Amino acid sequence: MHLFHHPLVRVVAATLAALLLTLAAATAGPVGQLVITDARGDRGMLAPYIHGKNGIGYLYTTYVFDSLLSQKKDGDVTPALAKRWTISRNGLICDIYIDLRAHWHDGEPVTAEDAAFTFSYMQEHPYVFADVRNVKEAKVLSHDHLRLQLKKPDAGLLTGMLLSMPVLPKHVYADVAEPQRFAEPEAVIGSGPYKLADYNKAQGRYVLEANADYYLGTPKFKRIAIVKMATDAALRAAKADEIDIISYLPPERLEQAKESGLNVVKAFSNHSVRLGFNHAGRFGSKDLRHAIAYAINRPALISTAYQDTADVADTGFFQEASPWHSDDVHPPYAFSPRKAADLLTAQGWARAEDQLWYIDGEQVVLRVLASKRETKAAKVLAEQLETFGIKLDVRIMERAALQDSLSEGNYDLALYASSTLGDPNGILRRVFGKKWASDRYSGKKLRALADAQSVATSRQQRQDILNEFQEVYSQELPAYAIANPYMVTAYNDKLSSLEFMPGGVAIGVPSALHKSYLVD
Amino acid sequence: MVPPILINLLSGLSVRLLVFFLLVLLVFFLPRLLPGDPVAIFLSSDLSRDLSGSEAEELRSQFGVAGGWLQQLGEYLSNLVVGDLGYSVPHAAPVSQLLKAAIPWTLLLIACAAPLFLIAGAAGGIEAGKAPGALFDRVATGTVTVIASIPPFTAAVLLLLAFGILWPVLPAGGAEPLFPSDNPLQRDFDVARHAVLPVLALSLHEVSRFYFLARGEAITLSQRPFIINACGRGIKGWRLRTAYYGRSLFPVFLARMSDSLTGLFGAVLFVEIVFSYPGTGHLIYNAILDRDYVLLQGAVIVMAGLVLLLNWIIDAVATSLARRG
Repeated sequence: MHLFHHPLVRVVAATLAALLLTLAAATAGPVGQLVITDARGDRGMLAPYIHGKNGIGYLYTTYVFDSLLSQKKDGDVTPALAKRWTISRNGLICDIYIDLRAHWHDGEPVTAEDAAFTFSYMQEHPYVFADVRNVKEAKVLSHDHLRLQLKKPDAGLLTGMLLSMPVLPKHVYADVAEPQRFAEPEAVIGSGPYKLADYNKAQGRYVLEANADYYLGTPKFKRIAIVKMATDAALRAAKADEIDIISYLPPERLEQAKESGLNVVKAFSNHSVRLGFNHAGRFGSKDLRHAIAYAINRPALISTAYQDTADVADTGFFQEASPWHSDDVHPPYAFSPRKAADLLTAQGWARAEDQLWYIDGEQVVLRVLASKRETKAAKVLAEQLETFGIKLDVRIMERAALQDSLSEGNYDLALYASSTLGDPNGILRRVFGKKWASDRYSGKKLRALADAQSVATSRQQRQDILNEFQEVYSQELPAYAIANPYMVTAYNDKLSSLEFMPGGVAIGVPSALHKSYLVD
Repeated sequence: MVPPILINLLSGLSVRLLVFFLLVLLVFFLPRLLPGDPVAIFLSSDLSRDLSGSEAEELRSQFGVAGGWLQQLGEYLSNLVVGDLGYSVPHAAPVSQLLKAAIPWTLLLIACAAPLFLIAGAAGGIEAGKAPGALFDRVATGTVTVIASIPPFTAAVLLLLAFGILWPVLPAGGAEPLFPSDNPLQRDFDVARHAVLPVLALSLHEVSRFYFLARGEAITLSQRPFIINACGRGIKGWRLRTAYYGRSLFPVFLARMSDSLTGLFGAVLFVEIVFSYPGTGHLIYNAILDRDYVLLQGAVIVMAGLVLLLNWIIDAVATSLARRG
């Protein structure tokens, strides 16, 4: 857009000249600036309704918009816009007291009115990262006192809704009828530690400026720039001190980052890659699911397909780093072709002389769907199962086509990855939901446990139920967790000792860039 | 008397309008035949909650996919007639605004590449065709044949690898540095530096077409009396190449330009994707992956309109010139 401030002709001439003459342009950032690189770039404007509908878009938006609660570095909830809160014994009434030191980026004070407004506004205009449908009424009792009345108790009230819902300024959003189309500069007036000063969609570049009046501390940097840069370029730029953070460094590049003088933090992503089964088809049978699990050699698959970039996943859904992970050991389904064969035989499958499996005289061919990212894993999986005698029809699909085929039930097995982080209520979507990366399971026993944990009245009770959930999950095997890939963030000395947020940031974004690292 | 160029313009208009209308229909139906649902892809993250039936329906209408195809088509056409290209929900921006930001970058690449490959193609072709079989002809024709056999996509990747990564003298992607300079001259220079590789990739793709055309024409021209005559009169060098060969080549080049425009606009899409250049190619590519029908329709229609418009004008000029002889 800015290009045409100058006549096109000039640029054309300059380009032709530059064909002959190329010089390196020196760039030096001002002091107090932090540059974060993002390999993909544009995540949309950083306002709740218009940011990219993915974890990263959400994460960046949390720098601009505060929620009622935030997280400590160990993942536990801590006060943010709500300086304290109480929950009634029946779990239906929640009193919230607003921190009156907080101000919107335009100087207006944050009050209980704003919070109450947000609950009702999000009922009317759904914001997909915060579910407020359980709120019956949000009543303003005084300037700083808000009372929430819930329809039913919610064990995830704090770690789910209150932590993930960005509070909107009433004076801005009250008149906005279509927030999905509201991309004016006022749309990004939040109460977070940084203000969005510039956003260039085409270049995928954000410039955030410190909110000097931030109520929870002093922002560490005057400016934070988030720029689109491929890994190679980012590593070079880090060496030249032009950038400070590579937000998601491919784990296989870890050593290279260290050589470039960067610190690295490596952790499990807990975005487990799972082998899903078509429960509506032949894999409605638990024994068949077990048979497939025994026929797969996970450590071998991981060392071939992922090398050092993943480890064997826990079969009980939650992964080891999760605060909700149970201490019990879940069956690993260690590779055992004999056990697999026994289970299949019991189900009426027969192995012929050619060592292949047949049902009623017909050779078994299973259709496996996978996205491009899971190509290698799908290929190794196919090799393993074919060695065992089950032929696979592997289809690597573009994401839209994949989602379509999965929701149409046009498959036997599928490889997909989804987060296991965030409030445990996520299992309702990730195990029982209809979306493509869900296990699409409908077993009653497991469902009852998932429902029970969502209304548990104490953390201990919830943990106990979730322990049982993990036990049953690992036995029922709605999906067979294969790999837990690592994630790496590389950073220089402008920041110290970054850690991936245990349990994920807010809604469950695996990230080492929680906003608390950016505030003193 | 009506100038002949106007007659040529008018006669070319009706067929192009028809083509444009068919295209408008095609770009409506084709994406809808692809597997995948725009709303499901938009909300495919497992971090986002499922929508209830009425919420999903509301979103579908914003994506322009509510109701049957006929209803959608009616809405799309009636908006198009009043010049409304629609609103892209994934980008949270009107399509026209997205295109306004992207088209200048695409045009910049084309505007820089066109003189390059036209002049290089013409100069090389004339030189080779003047004396077919001579050393220059053998070397140049050999080289251009090799270039012509490399698919445009591969050439772009090779250029990127050579000058952006292995020997990083030029930026490997994007259209501007991380932080554009405040100084307009420096800024133009940076934009120019970023355009070098994509422009080269695009020119390489097109240069062979015009080289062979010029060479073939030059061989024929060399045997025409007016050239033999000119040579006899001692005309040579620059003047022979421009005033004699060049001028005669002009209408042929124009005619070829008009039918290679589509190829050029097609190639620029690939080049933009390879170099992460923020032009329309990128926009269209992502719109396909996201099944963002509204943006895809808008972008394709505008680009196609542009191609047809240019093709229309060049054609009319070429016909007029050809008639003049």
